[in-house]
Amino acid sequence: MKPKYIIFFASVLLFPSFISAASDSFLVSPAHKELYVSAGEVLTFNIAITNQSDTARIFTIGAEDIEVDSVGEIALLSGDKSGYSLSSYLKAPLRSVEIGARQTASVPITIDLPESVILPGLYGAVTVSVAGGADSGLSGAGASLSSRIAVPVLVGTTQNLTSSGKVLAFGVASGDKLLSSGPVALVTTYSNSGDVHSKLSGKLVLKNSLGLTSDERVISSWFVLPDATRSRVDTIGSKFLIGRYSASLSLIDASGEVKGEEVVSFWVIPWKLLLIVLVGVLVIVKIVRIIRKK
Amino acid sequence: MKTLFTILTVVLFIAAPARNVLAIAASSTNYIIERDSINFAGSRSTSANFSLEDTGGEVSTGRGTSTNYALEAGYQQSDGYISLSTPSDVNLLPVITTLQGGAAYGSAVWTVTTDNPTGYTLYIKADSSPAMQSGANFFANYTPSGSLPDYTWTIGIGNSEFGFSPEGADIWSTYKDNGTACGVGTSDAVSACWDSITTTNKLVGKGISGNHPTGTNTTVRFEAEAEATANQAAGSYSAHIIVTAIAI
Repeated sequence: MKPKYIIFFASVLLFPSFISAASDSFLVSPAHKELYVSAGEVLTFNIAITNQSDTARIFTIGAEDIEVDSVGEIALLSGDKSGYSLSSYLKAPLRSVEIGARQTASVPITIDLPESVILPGLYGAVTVSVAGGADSGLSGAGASLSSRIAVPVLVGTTQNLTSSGKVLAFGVASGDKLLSSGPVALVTTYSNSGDVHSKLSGKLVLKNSLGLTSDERVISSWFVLPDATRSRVDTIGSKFLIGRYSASLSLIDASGEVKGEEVVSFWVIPWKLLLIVLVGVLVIVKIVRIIRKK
Repeated sequence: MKTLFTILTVVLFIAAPARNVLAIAASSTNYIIERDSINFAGSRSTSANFSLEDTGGEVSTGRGTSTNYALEAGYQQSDGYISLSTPSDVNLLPVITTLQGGAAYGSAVWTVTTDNPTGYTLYIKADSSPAMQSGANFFANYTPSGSLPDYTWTIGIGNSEFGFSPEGADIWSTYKDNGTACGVGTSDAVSACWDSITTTNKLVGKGISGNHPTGTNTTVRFEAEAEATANQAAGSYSAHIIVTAIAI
């Protein structure tokens, strides 16, 4: 077989998205973007928009500021400005773009920071919106629907960001110390008290009562905006856990500084399984006794 | 045969990062390299008023997906993706009459799919207040009896209101219920927990981890009701609803 055919078939196997796609949806990549742009500097990055429907659609590009809502998640400000406003500095050459069925367009987004910027971090989002699918023709009372994806853009104005914050809480998400089965959901809450976002990463390690590692999970690229408290939930361990376990968390920021090292212990007693086994043993013993009596 | 072996080796080398366990290139107690790259050129380039982050020399870059994996080949392909469905506009039925009033219903499903490790959030808003209008006439935004959504849709005598209720595996705790009230419990009763749609984004759903490739559905039920004595003016009423998905 000629190499070019082998390459073709390998490509089809490796990238089947080229031959299959979801219907009536659109995809945006990256989901978020972190960049370093100095005051007075201009930087451009691309956002890829894929129209996954069977008809051409018009996508509208916009920019908004973001803030952290009451539960620590990022929300759009709907035209209002935040204290770390970036939206005014986000620019795109197009306000809207028509993308054919099953096609992808790459839209350049430019960050143009003026010399006067002094904040170490600026935050906003590029929005990509599209009106609902085939218009059913509203009559009487109806809702016209738009679907929108916001791509958070996190800009550090210096390469030497020094974040300030700590782990506020680490433990079993349910709050229980006695669980009936795995895997275990662990919640980590981090408070960023600084004026620039924290980019955290780290590791979760689950050890059994013998000190042997049962499972490990990597925490990658977890962002917490300034003046915000955010939680994340990670699951660790297999379904079949039994005994006492300890889960340890180690978090570092982008500079490598340790931001938290926590340990939580808990028991996993699969009482339903143990009950079934116990009943089974009792039944077997009973049967054996009956057989012996006969 | 040697050529075949060489090509397969290269292909396997490129495909290797598709496995989640290899998403981290290297780590120690105080550093994690999330991705690395073998290439001949590229980095951060700057001039007086321009910067560019590029990478050259990589082959077979780009995004590839299947039912079991997502591959983002290439150093600059690192920040994942998010997709959102685009449901069609919704007619609320049956038609509400001016003299007798009545309630009309409709629903739409939004599917969010992302490979973002910390999941996504889903918000809903309207672009006008009140949300449902027809010229100078309108249905008022739904008014829950307290700070939390109402478990059961209820409007006062002489009122006409428009609201929503979300359902799905990832709905936010405000819209979960215990069978009688919202904001408590972990249930997701059908047509329960009614709230207003305002011009401020309201959190309706939160996924805590990536859900590639299946995605997660959130159904949004809409209801408009004119109480019998509301004398709702005739007209074609419409609300522009914007649902936003964010992954970070």
